[in-house]
Amino acid sequence: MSTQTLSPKPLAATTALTSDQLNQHFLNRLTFGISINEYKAIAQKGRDRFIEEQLTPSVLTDPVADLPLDRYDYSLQEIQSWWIEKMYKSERQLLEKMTLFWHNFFATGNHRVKNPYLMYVQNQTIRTNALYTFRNMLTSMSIDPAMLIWLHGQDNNAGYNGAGGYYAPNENFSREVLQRFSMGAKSIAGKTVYSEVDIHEGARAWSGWVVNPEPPYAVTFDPYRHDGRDKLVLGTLIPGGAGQVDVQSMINIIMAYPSAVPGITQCAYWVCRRLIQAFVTGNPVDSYVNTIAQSFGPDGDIKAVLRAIFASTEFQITTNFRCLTKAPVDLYLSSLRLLELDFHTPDHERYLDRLAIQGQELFNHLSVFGWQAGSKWYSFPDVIERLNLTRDLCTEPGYAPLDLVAQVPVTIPSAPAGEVYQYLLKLTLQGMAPSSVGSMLYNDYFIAAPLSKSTATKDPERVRGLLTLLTACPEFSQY
Amino acid sequence: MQRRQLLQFASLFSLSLALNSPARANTEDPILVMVYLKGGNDALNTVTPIDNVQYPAYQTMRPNLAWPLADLIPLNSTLGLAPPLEPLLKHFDAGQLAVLLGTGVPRTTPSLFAHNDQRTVWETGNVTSITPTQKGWLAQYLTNYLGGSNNPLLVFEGTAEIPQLLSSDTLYPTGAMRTLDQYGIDLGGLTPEDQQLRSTVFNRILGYAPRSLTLYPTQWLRYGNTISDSFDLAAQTEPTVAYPASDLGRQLESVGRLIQANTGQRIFWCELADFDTHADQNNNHPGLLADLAGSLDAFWTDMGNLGLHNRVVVVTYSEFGRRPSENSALGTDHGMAGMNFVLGGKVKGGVYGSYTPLNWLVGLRYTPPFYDNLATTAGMEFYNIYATILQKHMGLVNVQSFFNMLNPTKPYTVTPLDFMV
Repeated sequence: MSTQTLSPKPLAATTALTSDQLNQHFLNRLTFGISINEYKAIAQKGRDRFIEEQLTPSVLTDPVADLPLDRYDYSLQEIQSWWIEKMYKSERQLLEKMTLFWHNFFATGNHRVKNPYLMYVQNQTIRTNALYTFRNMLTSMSIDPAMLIWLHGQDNNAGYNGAGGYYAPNENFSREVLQRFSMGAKSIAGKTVYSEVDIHEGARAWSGWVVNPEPPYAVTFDPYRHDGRDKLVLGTLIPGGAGQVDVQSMINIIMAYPSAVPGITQCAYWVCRRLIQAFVTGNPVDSYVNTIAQSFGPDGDIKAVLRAIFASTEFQITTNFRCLTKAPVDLYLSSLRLLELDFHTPDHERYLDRLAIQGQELFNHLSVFGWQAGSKWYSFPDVIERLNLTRDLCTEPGYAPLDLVAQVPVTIPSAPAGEVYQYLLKLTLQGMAPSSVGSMLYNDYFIAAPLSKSTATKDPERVRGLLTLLTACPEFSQY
Repeated sequence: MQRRQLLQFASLFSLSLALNSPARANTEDPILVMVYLKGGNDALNTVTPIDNVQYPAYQTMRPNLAWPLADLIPLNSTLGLAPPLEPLLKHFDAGQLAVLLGTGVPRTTPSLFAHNDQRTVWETGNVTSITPTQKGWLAQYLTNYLGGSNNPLLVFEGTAEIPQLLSSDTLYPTGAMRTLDQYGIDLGGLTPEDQQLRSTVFNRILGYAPRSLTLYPTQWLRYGNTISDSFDLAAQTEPTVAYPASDLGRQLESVGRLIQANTGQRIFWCELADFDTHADQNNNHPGLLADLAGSLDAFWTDMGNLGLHNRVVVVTYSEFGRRPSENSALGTDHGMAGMNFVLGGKVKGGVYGSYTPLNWLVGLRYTPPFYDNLATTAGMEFYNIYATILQKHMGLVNVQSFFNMLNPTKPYTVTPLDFMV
């Protein structure tokens, strides 16, 4: 839903971005925030190689092991902690970002699924398909056990009722597939794409799938719960008698359905638009979406679409620099990655609760509409909550900020404060201090008496304070 | 300590603070409380036909979900309240509860039955341009008639989510219930000297509003102070009744205490979620109705004890009703006509409007696709409900010009109804 906050405007740089700023920009967009190590690495290897590595996650390492699939009693907090740690530490940053993107796209909530194990299974299925094809993704989600529970697919009994009729199908999944998962409620020309009839016919086609209530919760097709008659969906006939193949037919029909623009399917437009909103700008123009959608192809090649996005002018122009707003999870992770905090602080789980308070709880979407976006994270109370979150991370007991300082290359070891400040300014605010603050951050805080240019970097409390102030700047909440 | 810190920041903007003291409340101002039933409340299982023509049709269409006839609480000869709504009966008998039936959005609305689109229509009053960025009808009323942008104490919403109903280009503050103790900023620092240095620089960061950046507008800080003050005043009050410890009960208790403290809020918004009962409805819907009835009953009794009935109107709304026929999952899918409750001292209690006769629809239920639903009509347009409340409770004389403003491209004619004096 909308909010009364002012709409976000891009934090545009006034002049063209430098190569160094582009490095920071790519790190901000393809990862969960700039870490000092990756900032150094991208300068070495170059952006092109960095992109290709991120698009080929198998060449990167992920230190966070998968959870065993032979235990079924996970708590929601366990799987949330597991994923947060993975998003924080994995080198496969884009893969995790895409997994989060699809988690929001196919928004599912444990409050109705009531089975963290199945939420975990869904997460792994999403990760497997995250950089592959949309066709495979949609097929997997259609028969994903958590999804079947979440949108009542497993309650969709449309079989013969034994008395001359058929049971009424449950339309919930069919409606959301069309409205949220593949086409959107409106076409490019503003004309409604599908009708209530299509939803109802689709519900009959999706009918019959059930989740075994016992571990490992096998998904099976029950022909007696399926409506085996003909269906007419979006003007295409699905002949009766095909049983579970109806799922494939539905996906074929949906993915082939044309948009108002020749050569672009409605599905390509919808998915590419969502990807652009996540990676480029919240309000893309249709012509840009259609250009990117050329890369979607008949099966929805996600990697090709991302490659096209990253190579596009729109991705790199100054007006789209830092125009996206960090959601609470993004703000949390980018702070962790900046500070290189030890994730296993004794009570890191309280941070998960605080993300939930701000409206972003992993594995627990309130509704199929997913999380809000952009400036909507900035209602009045949220601003204060966000400031307090980054403050708490910077002042986490046991955190040693001098470890970060030690990694900053300096050329004047006797008075390193200036160089350390400029370096931290790059990692947090892309080198640009807010104009109202100007040099105050440096002169009136970092090296203020009784410290000095030569001693400030040796005082952990002063470095903490500097990091607290840098992350409190609104620019840190943008990426 | 934390709030002190904020006060200190806010004192930078003390000019505005002087304008926004909680003492500005006018003790005669009418108050509107909106209660959103999220997900599409099943009207037919909220107020159910009980006469010997309609009840059998209802039972035929809902073999598993129908309330037993004997359990329904008669409102008149043809309609009964669902059993969990029993706490509302005394307010109906007292003539303060209007039950509006067959309510909804115009059938011309695109994406009929989509949660967000229909909610957008209900919350913006705009039936032609249905987008999430459209301004809310109450926000426009606030801005144009109550001086919305100048008074930080007008609105309170009970949940974290800010509804489109209250969305506007004009920035005006709201207080969300979860933030009662979250208005402070503490920047850390081990010594007073360091704390002072941090505050000085941070004040400059907050004062920073370049043309390209509108995050952290300074208004938030001065509003934060007045909202915080009004919460402090509310915290000193004691409700005159025990509210249910439920989701809606807690929200309405906060509303009751803010009204009792007379801090000046005129518009309140609360939400009760999970009405999207596609499956297993009988294990979910009755509990939601019980929360609704228990919470409204406590609130209304509280207001009565405080002598405030004539100042307050409570309106429930939901994006749509649900289909007359149940589905195979023991639930109901998205439907056409809904219903609203209106509770108020100036309300003329009774039943208004009607459902499409179920005995007309029952024969259509196996006629694919869902003709029983499409043949249902929403005879009472949502905007006439708003027009009634704006004119007869909030005192807006020319309601037509207000609704013309909401619908500049295709204005519709509004007619205040007679459920209010």
